[in-house]
Amino acid sequence: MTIIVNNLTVTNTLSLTLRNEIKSGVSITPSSVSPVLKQNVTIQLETDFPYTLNRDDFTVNATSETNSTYIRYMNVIDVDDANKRLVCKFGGAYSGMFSIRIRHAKFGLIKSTLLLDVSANTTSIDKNRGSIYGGTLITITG
Amino acid sequence: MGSIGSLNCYVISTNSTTIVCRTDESRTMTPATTGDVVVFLKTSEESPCEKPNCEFTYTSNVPTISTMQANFDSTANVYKLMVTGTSFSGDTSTTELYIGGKLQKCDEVTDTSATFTVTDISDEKMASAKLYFDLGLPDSHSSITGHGLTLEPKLISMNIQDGSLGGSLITANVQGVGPSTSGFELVDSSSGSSICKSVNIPSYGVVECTTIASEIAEGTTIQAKLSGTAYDCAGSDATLCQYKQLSTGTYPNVTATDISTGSMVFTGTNFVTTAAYQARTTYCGIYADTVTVDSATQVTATWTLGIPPCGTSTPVLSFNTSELIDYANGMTELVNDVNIASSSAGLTVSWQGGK
Repeated sequence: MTIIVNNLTVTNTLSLTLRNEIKSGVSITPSSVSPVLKQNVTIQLETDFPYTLNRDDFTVNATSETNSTYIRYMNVIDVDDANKRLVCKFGGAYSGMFSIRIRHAKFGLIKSTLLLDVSANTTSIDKNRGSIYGGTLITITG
Repeated sequence: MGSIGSLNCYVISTNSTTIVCRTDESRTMTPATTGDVVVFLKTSEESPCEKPNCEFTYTSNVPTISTMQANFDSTANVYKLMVTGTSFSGDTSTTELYIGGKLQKCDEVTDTSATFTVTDISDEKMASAKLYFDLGLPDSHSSITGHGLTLEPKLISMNIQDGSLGGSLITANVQGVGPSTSGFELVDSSSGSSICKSVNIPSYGVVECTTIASEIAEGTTIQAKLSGTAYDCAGSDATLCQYKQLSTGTYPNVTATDISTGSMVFTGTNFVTTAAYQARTTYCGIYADTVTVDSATQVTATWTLGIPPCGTSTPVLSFNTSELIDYANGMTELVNDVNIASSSAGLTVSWQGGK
């Protein structure tokens, strides 16, 4: 390869090895999280992932399925090399489905079709009647 | 944050699956008004809820309250508050009385009355009261807000009946007083004079009195005094309201203090050598770094930077456990001036300090 910089010609030899194997994220647990709570999620990689897992080698983010510019980065807080698992901290996001992208410093982009459901639903309240003067204690479940 | 229609529901506690909130008390709603409970997330979103699971209706079919009375229960040695009215729930678990925002213990709820033990109030005048039933605030709830009740101090007992002539810490059970009570004293019933050099009320019903360094005769009966009125012992055992500080008591007594060695060495009698007690010394308010009980007749107090140059001041020697403090008797003024070995001629010093 020849590069010309300020009329100076520099010749470089670069070698690039294309890796033809594909490794994937297999599962994410839990697959549904709250928009407002900080929660740990565990991502399972294929068990024959070719590198020793190192926390600093991974970059993980969640991208909104409806707005690709809305990206939430997830810190990798722990790895389990024996079982090829990552534990990430999800810090909350607007409700919606998010696709998970995983990048490894040496391997590159790890294939992932993993989806994270970010949502909160109220299922019931414990009291449907209360004083007109207020002061009613209500327990909301969701 | 939650809301019901246009009214707020203030969050009290949350976890990952439940939110507990109390409906707004600032407005009176029209009976039979209905609204959905909506949870607003901090992401500015609403958490959806399938109808009709979250539908809430305001009702005027609630208990009515009329009066609140305070009575002292001389068997349990506690104050009881009784609220009367109609259509009470009968359920102690959902009936809550707050005095100045502090929850009291619910003892009994019938159709027409609810009885509570006073467990935590700030002072004898008791701040505004608020009573909640399972449905929330009752009808006429404002009738007990400014109740106008004032509790008399009830001296039940004192933890010690015998103290050091140099002063001791008494912890007394006095119902009806709290941390904001001011002017409370424990007094000698015969003379009416206070036996406390200082009084501290750390929590409801707990009075800490550091006694004066004077003799208090055997058989002296102690009264609780507040706002110029003395109240007799209210406990069932009157001996627990008696106290003495005698010169013949086996309490620490200092006969001499020596500072010539650079430490403060107390000589005397009855110094407490028991491991449960810790000796402490202060001189013009500065605590000694180490205080060693050498024997029942000698204690050595050491300040790392030397004995504070306090001029003329009376040191304090005490023997403390986590609950008891006995001050040594016989302390006299001690002189420890600043000793200037030499100074430059024409040296001037600012009275305002500096260097």
